Amino acid sequence: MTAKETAAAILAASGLALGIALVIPDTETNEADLRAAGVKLDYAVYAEDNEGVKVYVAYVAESDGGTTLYKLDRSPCARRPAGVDSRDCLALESDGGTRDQGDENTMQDGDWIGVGCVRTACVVVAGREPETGL
Amino acid sequence: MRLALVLALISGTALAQGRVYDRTCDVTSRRSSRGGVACGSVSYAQFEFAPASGAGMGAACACTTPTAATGEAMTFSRASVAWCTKGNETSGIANGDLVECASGQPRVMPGGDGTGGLGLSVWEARTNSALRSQELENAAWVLLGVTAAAPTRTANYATAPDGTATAERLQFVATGAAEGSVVYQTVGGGGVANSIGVYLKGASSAGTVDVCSSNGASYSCTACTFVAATWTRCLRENTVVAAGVDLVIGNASWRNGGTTRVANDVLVWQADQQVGATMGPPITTTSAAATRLGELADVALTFGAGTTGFSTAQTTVYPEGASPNYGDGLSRVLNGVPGTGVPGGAAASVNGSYPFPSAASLFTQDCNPSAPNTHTNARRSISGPLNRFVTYFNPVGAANLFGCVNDICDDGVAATWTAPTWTRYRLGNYTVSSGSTNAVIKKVCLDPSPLRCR
Repeated sequence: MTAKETAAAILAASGLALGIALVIPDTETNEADLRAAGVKLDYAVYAEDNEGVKVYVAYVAESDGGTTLYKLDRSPCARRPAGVDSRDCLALESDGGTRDQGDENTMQDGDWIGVGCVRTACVVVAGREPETGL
Repeated sequence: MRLALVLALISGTALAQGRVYDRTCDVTSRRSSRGGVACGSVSYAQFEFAPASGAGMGAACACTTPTAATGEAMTFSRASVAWCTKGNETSGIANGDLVECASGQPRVMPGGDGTGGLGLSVWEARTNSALRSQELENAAWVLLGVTAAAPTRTANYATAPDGTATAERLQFVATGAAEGSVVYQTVGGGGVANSIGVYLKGASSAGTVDVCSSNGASYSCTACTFVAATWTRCLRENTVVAAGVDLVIGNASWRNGGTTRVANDVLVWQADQQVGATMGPPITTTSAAATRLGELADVALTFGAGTTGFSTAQTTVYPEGASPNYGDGLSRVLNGVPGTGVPGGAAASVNGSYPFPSAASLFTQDCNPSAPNTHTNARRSISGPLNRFVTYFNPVGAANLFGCVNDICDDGVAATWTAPTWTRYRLGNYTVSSGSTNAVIKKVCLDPSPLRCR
């Protein structure tokens, strides 16, 4: 499977855009802008764009029931590397509180806070190392 | 000499015709039968895969590639690892019953309740969003007490279903109606149908705990009874909750409707939260959600051009599926009588997507698990240069089996059908990302005579 096919399969397995061919837009979107606008990005995955460059893509559910695929400049997910103070990268609870998610554990878009967090792949292929992503 | 040559030619012609209509014996026996000698005890139809005898399948969870009953080769693809279960998928699971097959290796297993012959597990891609699925001692799993003590946790306390010493021990205190003593993880992914599951075993005795999906506002719990002798895979399926799903395991009286729980001493292993109305085979995660990719299986067919004798009244296919939901013993028939009814109606609801070129182009049979072996709405395939026949079983919703030839299917009216060159039989998924087989496929049979498919 190509990276693009794998990305499509992962998005389908996440309940997003099942059976829809992955058409990656040419325009890259700033992930920070989406976050500032309050847009939630579920399961952004690595894929290859039309030039074969690895990028992150993510679907966003629109209010009209449709979805929009974004090509992102970075992953919206993050983890706390081992050795970083737990207070510098925490998981956000649904009630607004925070908690320690543990070393290296991935937190989805909007579910983390702190300067000690580093971007990471949101989801990986079973059996592969998370660090290598797709 | 001339007489011998004539006899040989006649014999050869008869043999060729017999290959078409009468392949009930292996080659040696078939020749013997021409001479009036009875066939051997094992006979097969024109094409059989995963027959009840197990021919061609090898051992359960050996992670080797099976063949069809008479040796036809199978090609298989899956670009990730996947778990195989040697017996019952949800109860009576012994240590060592679960085997992880490497990328590209098929999973041959009985499926369902573990009874019946071996089949081939074919699943769509699935993602487990529960981190550290076999490390419930990790900080990703939160111990919680609700007006009661939080559970006590001991890492790597016992042997797990895969034979490794990775099962955690969780000791939940007794809870009153408004109390809780649980371990949980927020796994996200709400808004669509989710299924959760976890392997449980009594550390010393049987008991009952709760497994819940919850987002704080809506609670969906299943009471899970476990025993001490073997593992039970507890499932909570087809739950739709809002965003921010919590996977909760333990004495969740304050979320289960107020049912009190006694103290429970439980071994816990491999928790899953998968998007889907039914729970799939487990998927191991570590620090990130992980996806088991979709599977494709094709079997080369050895009967080909010139095969005749197939008709809509005779061609019989018995793909038999088994999943944790439907168990074993399902027999679905593609047989028959040019159909009536409206094809494609059920297909339109397959996860909101329809993989075939036309929704009105089904070659399918109603295969409702509640009424197996029914023959209504039967369809026949189109005639033409056939080289690929596809069936797949969708356990979600209407639970239909779908079929297609050369990516195009038809519900035409002609009563007979001559099969041209058959080269490949695709078991299960239509593509790697379409057609939700999600079952163990067994007892696939293709023959001009329904009598030889059993």
